[in-house]
Amino acid sequence: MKKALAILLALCMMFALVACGQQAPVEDEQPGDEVVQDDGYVFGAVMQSLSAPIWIELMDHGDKCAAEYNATVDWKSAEGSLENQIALIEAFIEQGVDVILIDPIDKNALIPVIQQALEAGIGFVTMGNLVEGGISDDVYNVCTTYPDARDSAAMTDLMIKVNGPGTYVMVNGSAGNFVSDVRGEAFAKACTDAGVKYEIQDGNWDPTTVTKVTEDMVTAAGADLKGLYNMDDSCLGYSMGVTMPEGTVLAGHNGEESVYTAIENGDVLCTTLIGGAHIGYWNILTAVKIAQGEDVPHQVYLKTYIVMTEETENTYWAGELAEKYPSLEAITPAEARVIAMEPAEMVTAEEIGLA
Amino acid sequence: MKEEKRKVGKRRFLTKDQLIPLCILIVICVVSGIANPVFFTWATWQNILMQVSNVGIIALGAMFVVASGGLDFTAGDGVSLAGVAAAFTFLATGYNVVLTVLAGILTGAAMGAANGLIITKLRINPFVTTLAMMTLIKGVMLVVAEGHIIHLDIPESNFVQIGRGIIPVFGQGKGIPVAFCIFMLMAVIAFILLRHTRFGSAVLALGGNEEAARLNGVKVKWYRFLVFMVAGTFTGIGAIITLARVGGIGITLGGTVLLMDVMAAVVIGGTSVSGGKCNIFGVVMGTFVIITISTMLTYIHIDTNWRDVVKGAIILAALIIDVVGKKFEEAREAKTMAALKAEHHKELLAQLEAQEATQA
Repeated sequence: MKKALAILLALCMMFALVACGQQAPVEDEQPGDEVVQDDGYVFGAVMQSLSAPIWIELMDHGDKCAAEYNATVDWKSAEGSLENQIALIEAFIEQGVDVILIDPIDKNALIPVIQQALEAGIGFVTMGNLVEGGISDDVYNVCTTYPDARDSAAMTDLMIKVNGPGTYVMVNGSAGNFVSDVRGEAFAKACTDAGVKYEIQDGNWDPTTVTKVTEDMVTAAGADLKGLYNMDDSCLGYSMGVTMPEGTVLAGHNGEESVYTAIENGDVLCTTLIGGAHIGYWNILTAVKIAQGEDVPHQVYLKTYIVMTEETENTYWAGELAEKYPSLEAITPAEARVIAMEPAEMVTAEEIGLA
Repeated sequence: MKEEKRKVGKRRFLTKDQLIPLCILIVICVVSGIANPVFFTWATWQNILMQVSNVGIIALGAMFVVASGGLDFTAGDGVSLAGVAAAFTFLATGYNVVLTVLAGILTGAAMGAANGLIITKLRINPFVTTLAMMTLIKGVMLVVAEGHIIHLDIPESNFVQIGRGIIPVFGQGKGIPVAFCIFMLMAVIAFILLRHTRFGSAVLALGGNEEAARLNGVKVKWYRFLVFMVAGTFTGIGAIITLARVGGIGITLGGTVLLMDVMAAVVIGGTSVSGGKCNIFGVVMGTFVIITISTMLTYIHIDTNWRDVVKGAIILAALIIDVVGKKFEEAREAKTMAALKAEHHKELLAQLEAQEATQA
């Protein structure tokens, strides 16, 4: 019996190992293993991790854009390790790719290796983050960023307009992460300006932590709770599992299909369309422009939208809030689904009223 | 005789290892309650009872491994593995709750058995084996789940009630969480396993002195294998509760955050890191301590990132207490032995003197 069990388990393990080998996940390959350099451009991309749907969408649509421009993208995952990310960037520099794209784990620690790439004549894109890694006025990394400060403030204002005074809570990402910091500060400022109570806790994108901090904040606020803002739509689903006082409004960020449906059902008030597909295409398009020698500014913005039902737009957004945020267009979930699959627009700070 | 019995009874009910986590818990509760009276409402405790359940069940399994002198790094990522297996079964069987639960538990047990087999058959250190297994699971999860999140909170099934359901005791919406009842049931099962079966004695014997256990006829390899399989089974049950509470699964479910909570609960609960000693009550209290720390931080409006600092400090303190306590016990034993030796010498001398006197 024991022998049979041993053989069965050994077979299971072998099957798992063989399966891993056959699938050959991109994150396990080393840069330089497969360089496709026919006539097209070769880009190297180092993601923080591949553990969320947004990254999968980003890669799929990044590849789609690359194919349109005869380019190839070699996607790698740093698995959340700064050392891994630096090592992978160095390998891409040695490989001599045309442009390196990264989702930076640490905006300061990566500056030396970014400068090393720029000195080697390789274009550099820091995705979704502002990283000051240039070596001169003419040679710099391009930072593709989102107008998060405006968008988070707008959604917080909308929640407060709908539900009035009370306590508003936010489940953020993690401290030190550029996007989390910007969204957290914007939420806090909007609450302070409106004179409502607020609480922010980090969920670290971990489902159990997100659920726990949501439960704790919701219980601590009690009946005074009026709204919850989760900085990531993929984690908003976990927050939604927590029982909240009736009438509590919810807001997300990033734009995910499940949240669009929740908005249509009336379970979620609003979200911001960033979208994995959108940013995947947009970042690779930026890399193409750099490779083609186009003059791309140091910091560019993604054109984002606030997603809500038509009823919410007419009742609460139109008028005061629409005037306060003239550069932020309100769209319905149905429109968001269409826009999310279209090539994203690149805008300047002036165009979205941030300059 | 009666007094002796009473002393033995007292020692068994509240030992030092059980008192420490209980005292820490009381301090946390008092601080939180003073800072925010909402802490003492039933709604807060209903949450805490819900939150301790999955961590506590996994910690009970991990306790057996640590008490046997081993270490299990798969306690965290095993939750992802068992959770994904359960989630796929949920979808594949048209939301069949029984099969989903079975799939999660069996996957956890199989993972534990695989750990046990590698450790006993290939004689590889548990530290290295479970570390490698943890990495393997992460890789497999990336390939299988491809970063997608599977939502199980759907109207067609009441699966999430395992993790979120409340047995109404104090009126509408107020009661005892179903998950906590499962946790208590598992604690009773763990108690029976530890105190009333050969398996329990073997676990403590293995952790105390493996060679001595072998010489005493304990089937070392078999019981070590069983320890990991039991731990895996507990992980599988914990995974089901986690999955049902969170209502969805991605590969980030479980992982190092959960592993840290589990190990902290085990260590704070008085389980000796060098093996040979553990207690169920301590682990249950240790779990409450770990969970209420972050609840307290939220209630007193301190960034939850401080929870790692507080948790780390408490684990370190528990380890120091364990090591210092052990040294103190060794010193006391040495002292007792020396006293016994001296008494024995005295007796021998007296006997010799008596013999000499008789001969004279």
